[in-house]
Amino acid sequence: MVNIEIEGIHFSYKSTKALESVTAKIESGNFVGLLGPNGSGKTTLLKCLSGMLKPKVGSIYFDGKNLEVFSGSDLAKNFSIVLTNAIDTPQMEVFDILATARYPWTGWLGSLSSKDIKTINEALEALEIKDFIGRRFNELSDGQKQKVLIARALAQEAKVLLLDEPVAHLDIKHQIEVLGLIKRITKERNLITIGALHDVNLASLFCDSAILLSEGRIISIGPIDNVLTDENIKKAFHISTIVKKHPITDSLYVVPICTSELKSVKPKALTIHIICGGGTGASLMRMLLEHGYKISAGVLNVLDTDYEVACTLGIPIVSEAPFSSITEEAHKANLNKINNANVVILTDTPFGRGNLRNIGAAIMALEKGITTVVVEGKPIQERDFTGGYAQASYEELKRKGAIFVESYDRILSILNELEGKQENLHKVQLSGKEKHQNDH
Amino acid sequence: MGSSHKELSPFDYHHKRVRLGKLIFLALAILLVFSFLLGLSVGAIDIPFNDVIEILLNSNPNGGIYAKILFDVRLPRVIATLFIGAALATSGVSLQTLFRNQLAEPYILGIASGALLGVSIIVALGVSQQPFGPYTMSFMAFLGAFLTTFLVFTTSKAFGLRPVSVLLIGLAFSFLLSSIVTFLQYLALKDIHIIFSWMMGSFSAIHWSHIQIMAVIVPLGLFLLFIKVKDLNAILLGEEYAKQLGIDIKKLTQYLIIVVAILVSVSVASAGIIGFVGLVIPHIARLFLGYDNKFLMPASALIGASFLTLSDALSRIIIRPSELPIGVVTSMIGAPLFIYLLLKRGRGG
Repeated sequence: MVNIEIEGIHFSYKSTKALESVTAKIESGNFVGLLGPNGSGKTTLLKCLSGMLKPKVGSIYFDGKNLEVFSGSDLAKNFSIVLTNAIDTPQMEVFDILATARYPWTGWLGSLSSKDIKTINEALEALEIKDFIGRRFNELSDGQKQKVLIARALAQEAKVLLLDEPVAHLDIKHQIEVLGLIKRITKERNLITIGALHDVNLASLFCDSAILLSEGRIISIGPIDNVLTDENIKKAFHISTIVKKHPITDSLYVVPICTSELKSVKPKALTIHIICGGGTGASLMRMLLEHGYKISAGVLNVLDTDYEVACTLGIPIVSEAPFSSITEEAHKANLNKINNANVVILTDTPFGRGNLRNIGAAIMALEKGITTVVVEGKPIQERDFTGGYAQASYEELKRKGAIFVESYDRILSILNELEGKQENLHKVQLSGKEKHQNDH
Repeated sequence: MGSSHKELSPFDYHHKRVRLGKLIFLALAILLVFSFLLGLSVGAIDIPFNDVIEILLNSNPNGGIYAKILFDVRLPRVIATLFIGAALATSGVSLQTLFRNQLAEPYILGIASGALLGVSIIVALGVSQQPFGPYTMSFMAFLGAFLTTFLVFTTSKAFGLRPVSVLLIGLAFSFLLSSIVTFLQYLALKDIHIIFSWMMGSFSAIHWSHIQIMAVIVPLGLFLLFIKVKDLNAILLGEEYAKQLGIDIKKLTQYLIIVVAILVSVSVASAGIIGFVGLVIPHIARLFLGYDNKFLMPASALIGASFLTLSDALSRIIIRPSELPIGVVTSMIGAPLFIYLLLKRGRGG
C-alpha cells in the first residue's frame, strides 16, 4: 500500500496562476480521474506529481516522504507519465521506446538485463500488444500508439501512473478499451493511477474517484459519484447539465443542456406552447427549436419522456408531480403560458382523467383567439381512456375552430404563414411609430 | 529491422538484435582495417598492400622510399582521417539526438564559420603575418571555432540553454560569421585560395604534431560522448519524458556542446571544414542499427573513420598527381547518398 498526500500546493507559470491551494490524498488501487475544463491545471498537477515541476508553495508526500528529497532516479522509479504530445522520434521501434523506460533501473550504458526484458515483456502483455515489438511507432494507429506509451509507462515499474489525456484522440471503442485496460492494470498491480480526462462520462464509467479542478482550484474531490453533480459541473465548466444514474451501468452520466447550439437559425417571432406527454411531443419540440421558434410546454408530469426531453432542450415547462393528476395550480400556470403564446399545439398523447385538463387548456386558448393546432396522427378514439370525455372535448375543439393536422410538415407550413403575418404586423407597428415620431 | 518480428518475444527480439549488431560490428571492423591499408597504399605513388603490411609489421622507418612515404606522409594522414572521421560522425550522432533533428550536424554550432573567420582574419591581414609560427592557421582556426561556440553557448544560456534555442542561435551566428568571412575575402582577393582550401578541407598539410594533439583529444572526446548514450537514448522520446526520467536537460546540453566543440574545433584546425560526414554517416548507421545510441555511436565512429579515409584516398588518385579538396569528395559522395536516404525515408522507409 502506498499513498500520495498533496498538501496545499501552489504553482504559477510566470504571472499566470496554474494551481492554488490544492490538497488531496490518494491511496493505491485507485484510478483517479482528474477533471476540469481546458487550462484548469490538470496537466500542471500531473507534472508536479511527476517531479517535472516543483510547487512554489506546499508539498507532495509519497508514502510519507516529501518529493523534494527524492533524487531524479528515485522519482522515476516511483512515478511514470504518459504525456499528450507525440514522441519526438517517431521512427523508433516499439521495443526501443519501452527500453527507455528502464532508464532508472539500468547501469551507466543502459544495457538491458534479462529482468529488464522480462519487465518490458510483461508491459507489452498487459496492453495486449506483444506483436508490435519490432514495429515503428509512426506505423501505428493512434489507439496503438497510446497503448505503446502506456506500456512504456508500465515498463518503468513505477507505483504511480500519471496519464495526461490518455484517450483524447481515440474513437469511442478505443477509449473504452484503453480505459478498461488502465483500470484493470491499476487493480492488478495495485497502482495509483491519476488520469486527466476530458469526458466526464468516461470518467464516471472507469474512475473510482475524481478531482474536479477549475482555474487551478479543487471544486470537488472524492468518490466519483459525489464529485459529478449538476452544481459541481456548473461551477467547473460553466454549463448546465443533467446528471443521472444510468440504469444499466449503475454509473452516473452527464448530459449537457445545449440550447444555444440548437438555435443556430434566425430566431422567429412566434412563441408556441406545446401540450404533449408520453413522448408525443419530443421530436416536435426539437424540430420547432431547430427552426428558431420560442417554445414552452405543459402541463407535463415529472419523469414523463416529454418532460425529460423538454428539460434537456432547456424549454420552460409547467410541471406536475410524477404520476399525479394536474392540479388547479399547475393548470393556471399552464393557462398563463398559453396567454403568452401565439400558437398552441396539442399533440396526440393519450388522455386519462389525470391530464384531461390539458384539453380544457387548449379550448381556453381557442376562446382567447389563439391559433390552436391539434395533431391527430392517431385518432382520439384510440387514446381516450376517460370514457368519452376526451372525445367530447375534441368535438368542442373542432367546433371552436381548431386546425386538425396529421403531419408535422403541415404544422410547419401553418407556422410559416402565421410567422409572415406576425412579421408584417410587426412592420406595420414599427412604421406607425415612425410616422408618429415624424408628426412631432 | 522492419516489421518482420511479429512473432518474436522480447527476449528473441533482443537476442536477435544483439547477434545482428555483432555481425555488423565485425563487418565494420574489417572495413576499417581495409580503409586503413588502402589509405596507406594509394596516392601519387602507390605502395602495394604487401609492402604496406610488411613495412608496418617491421616498423622500420628507415626502410627505403616506401617506408619514408609511409611514415612521413601517409601514416599521419590516415590516422588523421580516421580520428576526424570518427570525431565528426560521433559528434553528428550526439547533436542529432540532443536536438532530435535529423538535419543537425557538428558545424551547426557555428564552429565551421568561426574557424573560417579565424583563418580569414590572418589572410586578410596578409599571410606574411605568422604570429604563432607555422601553426598560425591551425591555431586561428581553433581559436575562431572555440570562441564562436563559446558565444553561441553564452547567448543560449540567456534562453535557459534549451536545445532548440542552441540550434537557432548557432544557425544565426553561422550566418553572421559567414557574411564577415565573405567580406574579408574581398579584402584578400589575391590569397583567397587559402581561405578556399580551408573551406573545402584538406589533409595534405597533416603532420605528426597534429596527430599528437588529436591522439589525446579525439579518444578522450569519443569516450566522453559514449558514456552519455543512456541519457541520449532517454531524450529520443522528447525533453519532457527525459526530464521525468531524472535527466537534467540543461546539464546534458552543456556537457555535449562542450565535448563536441572541442572535438570539432580540433578537427577543423587540422584539416579545415569537411562537409557531410557529420550529417550523413549517422543516418547510414541508423539504417543498419536503428536508434539505440549504444550501438549507433560506435558504429558511426567506425563508418565515419572508414568513409573519410576512403574519401581521402580517392581525393589523392582522381586527378593524380594533384589532389582534390577532401570536402569535394565527401560532398560528391555524401550529397547524393543523403538525397537517396531522404527519398527512401519519404517513401515510409
